[in-house]
Amino acid sequence: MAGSALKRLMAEYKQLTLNPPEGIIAGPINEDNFFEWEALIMGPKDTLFDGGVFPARLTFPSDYPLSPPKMRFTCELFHPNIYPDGRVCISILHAPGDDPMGYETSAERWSPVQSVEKILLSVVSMLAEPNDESAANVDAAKKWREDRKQFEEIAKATVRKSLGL
Amino acid sequence: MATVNVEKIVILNRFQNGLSLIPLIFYIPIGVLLMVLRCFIFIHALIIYYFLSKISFVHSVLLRLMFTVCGFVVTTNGSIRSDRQQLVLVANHMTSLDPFILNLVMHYILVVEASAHRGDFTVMCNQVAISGELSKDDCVQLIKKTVEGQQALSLGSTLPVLLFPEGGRANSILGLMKFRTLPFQLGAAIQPIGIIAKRWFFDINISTYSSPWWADLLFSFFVPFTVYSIKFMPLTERRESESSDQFCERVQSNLARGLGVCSTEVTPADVKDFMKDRRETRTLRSASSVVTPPSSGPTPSHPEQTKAKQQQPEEVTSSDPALNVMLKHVREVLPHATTRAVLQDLEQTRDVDVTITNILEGRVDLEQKPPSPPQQSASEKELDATTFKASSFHKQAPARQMSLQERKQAMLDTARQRYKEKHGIP
Repeated sequence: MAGSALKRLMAEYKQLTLNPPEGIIAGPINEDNFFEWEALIMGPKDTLFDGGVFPARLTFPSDYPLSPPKMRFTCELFHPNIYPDGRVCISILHAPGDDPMGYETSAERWSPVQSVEKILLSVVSMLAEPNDESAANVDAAKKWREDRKQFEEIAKATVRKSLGL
Repeated sequence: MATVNVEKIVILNRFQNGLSLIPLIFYIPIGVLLMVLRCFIFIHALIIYYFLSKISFVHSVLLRLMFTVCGFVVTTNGSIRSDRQQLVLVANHMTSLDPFILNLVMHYILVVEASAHRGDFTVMCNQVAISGELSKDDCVQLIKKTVEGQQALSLGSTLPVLLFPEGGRANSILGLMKFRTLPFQLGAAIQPIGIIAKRWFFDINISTYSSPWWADLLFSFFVPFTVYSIKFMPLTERRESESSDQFCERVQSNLARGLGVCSTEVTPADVKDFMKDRRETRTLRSASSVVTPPSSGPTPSHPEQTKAKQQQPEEVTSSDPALNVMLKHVREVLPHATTRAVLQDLEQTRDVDVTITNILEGRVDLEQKPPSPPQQSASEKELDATTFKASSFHKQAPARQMSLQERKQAMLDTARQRYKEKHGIP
């Protein structure tokens, strides 16, 4: 099984190298281990995270694409749908079987038809539009809902920090 | 359940073979005259239908007569069970005129599935439309509500509900398509109805797989007459130990036996696939005939290719089991690859891994590409400085690694540059 996972990952890597979506770079950290990737995601334009470059780590299971990869931001990111430890909480990363919250339809869940590119695009849209209904970071969701000003301030600081300035 | 080819179940052409067309040429003037006359009579019959009350005996006799003049001869065998409070009728679906013909002998509420019965002649019927987006429970609720509404309108007498569980037209001469379970979940007794349509003298099919109802109607006016025999079969009720699937199967095989055909596992989706394959074969054939100049002899490869393509739909369903297992493995990894393309390659390689590699490296011609290519072209259009694309995908790992590193750095640099410009930081 690992053989086909490798082949599929290689194909996706090639696709992402030659035809990456806007503001996204992704690839294995070290090709000795093809199951650990790093992705750089640019904050989408005209949103709170505009201009930032956020690194994330993708860990693929050996039965990929049957099971979804795990994704974790390695930088600090204060966002309603990102756990304080950086793990990303979006439906596309959940296999149809496990639904911890019980609100997702299986259509938007992980299936082998999805791809790294689709995950990253979902993350970009999550950055653009936080979904406070399924909060992973309760503090962030609360701020986002009740004190938008302060949330914006924190986001600005995050962007600057992500650029190392 | 027998395995029958899709090809034998769907009606593809209106005219069957060349020989029977010769007498038709002589008949054309009469036919056209008949058609024009009947058009007018038909319109009058419809007006009568709408303006007279639906229950009166004279009315129904008059209408039957008028429609007979229009070329629809309807005979019935058995009768509808009217002693039931709630009755569900299921009928085989052969022509686009079925709902209309059945409406001549009884009144019912037709359940129209938005996707399935497009192009049927349902002008005169009471109907309730259910869309594919509704869940089964919602559909059941909707149908029940409509029946209740009808009951309130007509002071107590309930109309039966009619469904065409095949979900598409099939020629009911060789086989029935697989029934859907929706009618069997309504919790009422089922009365199956068999419709058989026959034409004498000319071998013209009433409906084809995709013909519109008006064309079918005009052809019905054109030919001398069409005989519809409607057979009401005994009431079937669900046994306590039965699931709705089993009940569905039982009714299907009963109806098939009543019609003297076999029930099959073919679904409308299979038919759709088959039609798609057929279209592809056709375009391929016409393309190859354009390419080969008529004067030169046919190249040996073309006919072979076409032949291989034609055999494809059968292979997809009935290839040897080992190949099917391999196919399943490949599809698990690459769901977007078409079954046909994968099978074709598997036949040569007989190895899951080799085939996966072949597909990934683009050595297999996937006719159905995944939806990503349009995305690519879209992103290429709005190419700007935020897309960090490599000019090539290197064969060696270190070179790829370098390129990735460079692109990451470039992204970071660009972002920094922009940030500084935006916020005026030197």
